[in-house]
Amino acid sequence: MRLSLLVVLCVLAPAARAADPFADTVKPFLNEYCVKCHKADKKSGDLDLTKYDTAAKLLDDFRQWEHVVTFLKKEEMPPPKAKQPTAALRAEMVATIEKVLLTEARKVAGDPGAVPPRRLTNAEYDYTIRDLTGADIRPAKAFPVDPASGEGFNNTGEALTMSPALFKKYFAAAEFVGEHAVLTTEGLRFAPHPTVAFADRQKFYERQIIAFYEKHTVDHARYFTELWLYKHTAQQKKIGDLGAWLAKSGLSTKYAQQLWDVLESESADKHYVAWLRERWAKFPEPKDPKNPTAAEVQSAARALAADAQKRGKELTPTEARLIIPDAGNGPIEHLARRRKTADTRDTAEPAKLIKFRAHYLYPAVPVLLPVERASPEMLASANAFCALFPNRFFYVDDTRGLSAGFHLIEGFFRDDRPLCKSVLTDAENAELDRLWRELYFVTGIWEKMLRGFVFFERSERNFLKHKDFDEFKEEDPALTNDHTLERFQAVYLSRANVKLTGDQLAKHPISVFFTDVRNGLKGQTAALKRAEPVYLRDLLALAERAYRRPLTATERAKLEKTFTDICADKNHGTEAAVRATVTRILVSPHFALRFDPTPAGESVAPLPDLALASRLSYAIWSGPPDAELLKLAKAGKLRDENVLRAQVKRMIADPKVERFAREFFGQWLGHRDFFTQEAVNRQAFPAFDDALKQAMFEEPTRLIAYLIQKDRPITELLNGDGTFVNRKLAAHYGIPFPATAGADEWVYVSGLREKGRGGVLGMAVFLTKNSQPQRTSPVKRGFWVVHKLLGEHIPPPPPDVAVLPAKETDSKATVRELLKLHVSDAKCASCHQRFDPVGLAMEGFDPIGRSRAKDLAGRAVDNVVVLPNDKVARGVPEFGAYLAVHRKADFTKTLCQKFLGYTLGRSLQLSDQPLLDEMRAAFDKNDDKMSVLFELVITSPQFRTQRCKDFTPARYSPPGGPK
Amino acid sequence: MTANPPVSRRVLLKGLGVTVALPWLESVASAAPAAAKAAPKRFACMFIGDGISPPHWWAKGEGAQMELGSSLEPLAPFRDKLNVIQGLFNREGDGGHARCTGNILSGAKLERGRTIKGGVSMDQVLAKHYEEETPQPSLVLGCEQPVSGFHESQYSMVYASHISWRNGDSPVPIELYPALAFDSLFGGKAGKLHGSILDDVLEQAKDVSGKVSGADKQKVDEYLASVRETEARVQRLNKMAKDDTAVPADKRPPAGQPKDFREYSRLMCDIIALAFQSDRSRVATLLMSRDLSGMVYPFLGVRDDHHSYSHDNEGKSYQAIVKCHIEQYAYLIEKLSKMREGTGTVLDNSCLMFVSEHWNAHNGTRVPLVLAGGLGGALKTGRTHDYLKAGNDKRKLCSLYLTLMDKMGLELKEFGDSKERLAGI
Repeated sequence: MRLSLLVVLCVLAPAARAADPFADTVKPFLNEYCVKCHKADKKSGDLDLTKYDTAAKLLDDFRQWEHVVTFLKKEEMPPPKAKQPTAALRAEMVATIEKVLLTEARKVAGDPGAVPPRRLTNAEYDYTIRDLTGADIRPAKAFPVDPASGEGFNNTGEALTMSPALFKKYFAAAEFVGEHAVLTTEGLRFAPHPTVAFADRQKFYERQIIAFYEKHTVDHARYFTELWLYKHTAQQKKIGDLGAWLAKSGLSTKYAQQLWDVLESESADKHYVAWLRERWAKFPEPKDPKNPTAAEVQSAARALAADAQKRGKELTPTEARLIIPDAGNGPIEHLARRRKTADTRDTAEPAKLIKFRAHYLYPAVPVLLPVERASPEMLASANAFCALFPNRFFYVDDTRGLSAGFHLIEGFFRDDRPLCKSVLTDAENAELDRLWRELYFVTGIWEKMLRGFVFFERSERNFLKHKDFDEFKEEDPALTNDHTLERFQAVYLSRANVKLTGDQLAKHPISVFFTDVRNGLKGQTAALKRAEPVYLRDLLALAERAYRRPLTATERAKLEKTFTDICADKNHGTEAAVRATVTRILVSPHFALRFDPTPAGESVAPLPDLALASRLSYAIWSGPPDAELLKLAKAGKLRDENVLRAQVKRMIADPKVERFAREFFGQWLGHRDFFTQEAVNRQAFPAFDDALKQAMFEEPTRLIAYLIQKDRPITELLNGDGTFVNRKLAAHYGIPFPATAGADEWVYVSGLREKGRGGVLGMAVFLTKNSQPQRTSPVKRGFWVVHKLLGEHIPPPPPDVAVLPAKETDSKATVRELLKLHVSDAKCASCHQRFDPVGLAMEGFDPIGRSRAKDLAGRAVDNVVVLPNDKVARGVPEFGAYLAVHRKADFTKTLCQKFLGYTLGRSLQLSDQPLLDEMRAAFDKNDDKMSVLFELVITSPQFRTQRCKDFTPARYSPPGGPK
Repeated sequence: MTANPPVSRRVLLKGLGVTVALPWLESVASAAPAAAKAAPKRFACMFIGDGISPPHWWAKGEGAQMELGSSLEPLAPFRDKLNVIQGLFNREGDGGHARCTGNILSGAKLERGRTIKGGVSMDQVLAKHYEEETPQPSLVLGCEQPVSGFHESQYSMVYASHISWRNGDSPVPIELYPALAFDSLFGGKAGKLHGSILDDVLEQAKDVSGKVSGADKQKVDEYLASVRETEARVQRLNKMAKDDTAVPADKRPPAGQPKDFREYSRLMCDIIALAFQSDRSRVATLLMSRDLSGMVYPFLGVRDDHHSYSHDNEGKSYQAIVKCHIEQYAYLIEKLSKMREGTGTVLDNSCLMFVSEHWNAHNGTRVPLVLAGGLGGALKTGRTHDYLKAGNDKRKLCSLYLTLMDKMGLELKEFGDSKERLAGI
């Protein structure tokens, strides 16, 4: 809308038709000086200059013509032996060709270009799966490597092809993702690992439950300390309630409040609570009443915690053996014992009550005496005490986790009553209940346990070998039917000689066991039935996010039908239906292909909002649009330029921009494949291990993502003073790492220049990647800087060049001395003088990027180089400073070209030239910020429009008229 | 416990989920004319849990003169095709049930407690190696339901139930249904599910293709053609499964699991033989019975379960159980020996391994193992070997695996606990 308005308002009257400079000036010059060698039947350098008869033809081969200009400028063409134009003519010709190119470019400026439908790249595939499922599954690991094209990126549409072999892998990947589906009682989730095998289903929830318990472990000493601080600080500052005081401590307010009430309230208790209060009262007074510190009360807190816990163990019933892995252990009795233990962890056992009396010599030491008959007050005191100091708050076995603890049979046992009762809030209890419910549900544990029970009772305990049990078989599908179990229960009770009735019968462990199993199985069936429509709802939502647009009514109906059909099919059922539907969604062309239907017409049209949302999210996040983008697109608001700008801001502030840092910069600067390609000789460099390699690989991505998110100049890559390191990398660089930071933590450090580093030139990943296995390579390092970073075009070396020794220790001369050969030989010099000195400035780093003063043969390293402006630079910091000033234009030009090619996902065209110029100017003007490039490109017509079906350049006019 | 594990839907799904992945996708390689290629080499492993009966397990002499202990008697007709190997050592395989079965094909150390951690098994290494060559990388079959509780040694019973491991963390789910194993090779029910997905995708792709033109259409049609080609293969395979004249035709086993162990294991052997003959898969494992097996063998006149007898492994009952397993092995050998291939038989181009995790119950330092078949001449047969006195480093089970993988064209630097080949094989 806005675009077309612009077009209407701003179309300028074309300039009067002047003389055609191409036909008038360029053509004759070419005929005179060039076509002798560059013609159809003698294409020197693969260049035929006779085929360009009009200026418009230059459009298609504008890169070629840029080279023509460069060669003319540098006086490399015509070759010395050939006829030479005068300097004035040469200059005129350069100016004319440049002008012709620019004129042609302006005529078609803003053309969105041909962006073919394309499949997701491997990286996009993985990120997309991560965004859709919330699990980092990375199924694209199995795909062949994507080809790169266009401006050197693999997200270029032309190169991304599909084949039956690849489709086979897509299908397998889709099934693999389906295998990660977790069917919970509440809907569809995805695990980071397959969940087909029982052990995998189990670990998904078991790990979460154990982590929950660990997080809520009660550390009594900490409670005493915090309460003491609260007591003494509260009086001083009149701070708020206990909850507010504990807010940051991570301790349970619920538990702390109970403990506080017992410690501080005054009741007539003479027994266990009194003992506790006495000890609490003896805690020291703060040394400085204005500033009580945790340290001064630590020993008292720890001692009381230990004693109180000990007392709690003494008062509560002795814990039964919780794991009894022998073949004689009856499962029903085992469960009954565990139930009893679990239910009495925080209640005092009357027979174990003890009384204490002070030792006559040491009054502070109580002497414990068993109590024959406890008074009701004593028992009440003991129970109040045990509620706070149970023998355990929960039980997780060190080796068996949440296992019920009998031999061979699978089963879980939940033993956490005191934790739930005294420590957890209602919300925390609900969360823990949920985890347990899901553990039972996804493992189908009731059926598993029942079948295991039948096997064990028959095979190991021989109890079921009696013929009365013959109809109850482990393998019988009907075993889980409730009426079968009812009979089984009756037979079992009768064979076990249980002759009870009524309530007593119901409480008998055998009855309890069967009742639990039967209820569990009924619950399982009911929950699955309830969940089925929820799975369908979740699958439809998944499809919508996977297709990056609302589903059509037909698509919705079809998915629904397939799902319900497979559910109802006895051969498959619900789980197969869920997994098959996930597969079906992920092999759909609507998921795997990114393509925008082409509108009719001969010019260009605005990209529909939903297509724009995808283009945007894949450009910045390498993944699908999130809910906010989809919502805006569905409401038709994304086309609004202000909304678009706001979204770009939001998106580059999102942590997912890290993907851009990795994908765009990783491909441009070439470190993305560092992980898969390794040339380091690890025997020669034992310091280079997997952890270091990983750290090296991550460094640039972390720094770049930071620069983008903080909107700092991206040119800090040339001469910055800071970077991100973890402990490993800091040690490698020899820079101090904060002692408070964790081992795997990454921190921003500055002061690199002082250490001889700064910017990408001093980053280990680039220094290592551009080295030989056992020596540095100033050639590779310099070439990388000049070619990748500054975008210089350098032809490949001739085939007959001498090879440098493989190791620094193999030669009497230093690498620097050997490189002098390049300068003395004219054939080498023309190129090598452009990058050898650059690499020599980086000689202060060994082949794995460590600082060094001596090379591997022990010779002093010289990293001083003479700059083209005849000044000298020492090492990376000074050379980086030179780059940031004198070569910034080249860096910027390269960055803009690469950036535009990557974000548009296509090769650049001459028509992009005006935008590139605009990008460069804006970048310079705005402190080299990446945000400027993002905004400019994303709001550009290239990005926001698409070519119509019958696009013809002649029918196209740039928005705002020819520039 | 009887020979028939329960028919739980979960088990069935396990089968569907993994072992049946893309059975219908032929590979580029297998589409090449057969004459142009040397006969493929195959590997199968048949496993018996709870060890063998030592007094009856021996062999001496070479070729036709080879003498066999009574357990191995059923192999007599194939003496010249055998390598009976005594005294192999599985370093991590000692220490009771559950600590050894899970590493019988990997030699990996197994982790105690709730975390499952072992190593990738050699059959799966081979499956990966042949991944692109056959439609189904491997068959992982079983005649006994896996269990997953804990053994008294604190090792998970998951180890006791699985010999094939796709990675250290998880075993390959075992296919317990002969009919589904068959479908995984030749289409059928699982193929139908795939087929319906593909039909639908094909329709979507056609629909999309109809809406674009020019260069765009070319790209979309690339996708369309890929789906179409795949879909056509499913059609072909599904037809093959139904078609009377096609090879497997009437060979789809009945649904469910046979009650009689002999029938059960033979159906599984039939499927392995079919897979090898038709080159639909080159790697198979068959867990005839798991470690701590609960199988019963009423037809042998014994009433108790497999494991109970193993503690008295010199007794008659146990000997009968072991011999019965060897008979199943002999059945597969015979079956392959009758399948002509080039100038020899499928057996000549295969290696069928029979192995148990224990020598006698609860001793894993001496692995009973027999090989049959010549791997296309790479493996000399009609021999007996005894490594018992060679020293632990020179009698490693994993060294044998390295040797066998070499002979199948997969040379690894190391595997399991070994970095060298087993001398004399």
